[in-house]
Amino acid sequence: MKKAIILSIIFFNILIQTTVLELAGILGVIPNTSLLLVIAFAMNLNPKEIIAYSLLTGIILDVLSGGIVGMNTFGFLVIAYFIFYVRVELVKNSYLTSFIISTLSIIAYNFITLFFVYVLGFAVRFRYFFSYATIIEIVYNGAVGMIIYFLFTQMYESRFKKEKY
Amino acid sequence: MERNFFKNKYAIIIMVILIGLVIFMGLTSQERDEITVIENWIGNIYAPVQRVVTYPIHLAQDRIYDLANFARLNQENQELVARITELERQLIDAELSNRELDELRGLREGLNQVPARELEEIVTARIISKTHVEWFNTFTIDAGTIHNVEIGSLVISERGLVGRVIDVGDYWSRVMSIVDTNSSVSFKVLSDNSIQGIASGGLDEFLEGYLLDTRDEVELGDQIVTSGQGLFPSGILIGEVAEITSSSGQLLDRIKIEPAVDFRRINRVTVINF
Repeated sequence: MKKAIILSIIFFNILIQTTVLELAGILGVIPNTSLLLVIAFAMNLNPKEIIAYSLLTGIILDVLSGGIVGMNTFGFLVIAYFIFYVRVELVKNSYLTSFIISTLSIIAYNFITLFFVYVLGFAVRFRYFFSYATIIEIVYNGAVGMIIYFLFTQMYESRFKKEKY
Repeated sequence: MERNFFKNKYAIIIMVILIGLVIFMGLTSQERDEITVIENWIGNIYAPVQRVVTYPIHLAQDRIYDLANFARLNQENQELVARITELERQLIDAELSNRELDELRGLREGLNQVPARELEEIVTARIISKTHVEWFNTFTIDAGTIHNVEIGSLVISERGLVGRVIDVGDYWSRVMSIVDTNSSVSFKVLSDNSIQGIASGGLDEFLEGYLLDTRDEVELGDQIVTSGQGLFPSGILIGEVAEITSSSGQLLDRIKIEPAVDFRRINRVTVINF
């Protein structure tokens, strides 16, 4: 049951991110809900699940979004690993914590993707990296990250925490 | 305890996966003849669902846009009627020339001197997903190999050049738009075909480019079409010159081209194998 629900969340999240979310863009910037979902996984699930679901989310997003296949997966796994590693030190169920983690994660994700885009010889828009769009992206992801984190954590704690698997 | 366990066993698993991903990225980052089976499957699963989800959205967007632009569209309609009348007159002239061209083409094929290279397939497709990754400007359409779409197929809209197909699945294809920073288009100025240059995607969905000959000059509003050198056939409208930047430190004048296609609003495209 738990697996089915999480897999459904991953499927519908990516569906929404690649279609409907375009309507919620602020100056062309839309939140990376897949990354924010991976953050929620890393804050709540066990390591085996974190690896499996982050990998799955990354691969599907990579295939559907084009560009460099594997880049999102790489970023998601690295970020998920670090969040899991430090999560015992973090204050859980805090808006501020989730906002800070989301913003730091999107910055880290941008650096990881920038690295691969540059190393693999693709054109790099450094100007974008230092433009207003980046600030919008960071704040927007931070805000949406809080919502996703709380929705997932609430669902996880109310439905799955007692469930044995 | 959990931390140590993860740090050891799972950290190693993650490292192995990451190394595998780096190798995979290296192998697949260049243009490929075909995608992997997994990519095809994932695309085939999502494409019909994305199509169902995006259809009402695009429909609503079109209707809202039409309502918001009613007055402008009415004026545009009157201008188009006048333009059609003019084009009909030109068409008659062109048909006369075409007959002569057909005769010459038949003669050429008969002599087997040059293989005929005609438009083979035209497919109309709907955009079902747009990529919102900072580094790429691509989108997915609901036509694939079963519709005879191929890697390299030309993608246009009613307004002009859109891009070209870079990946093809059974029921979907991925298109790299001309405003992608990795896209490059050879162009010429419509009013003076001898003025040529190269443009690629820039910021804010504009193209940025330069002229090949430093002595050439363009003016704001000059229409830019494909030159036929490179990946795109000649004569397709790209856009118009929106900005010219001259600098004493630079040998070449930089120009900014506003694409004829509005990439924020585009929902349907035509794919042509040429």
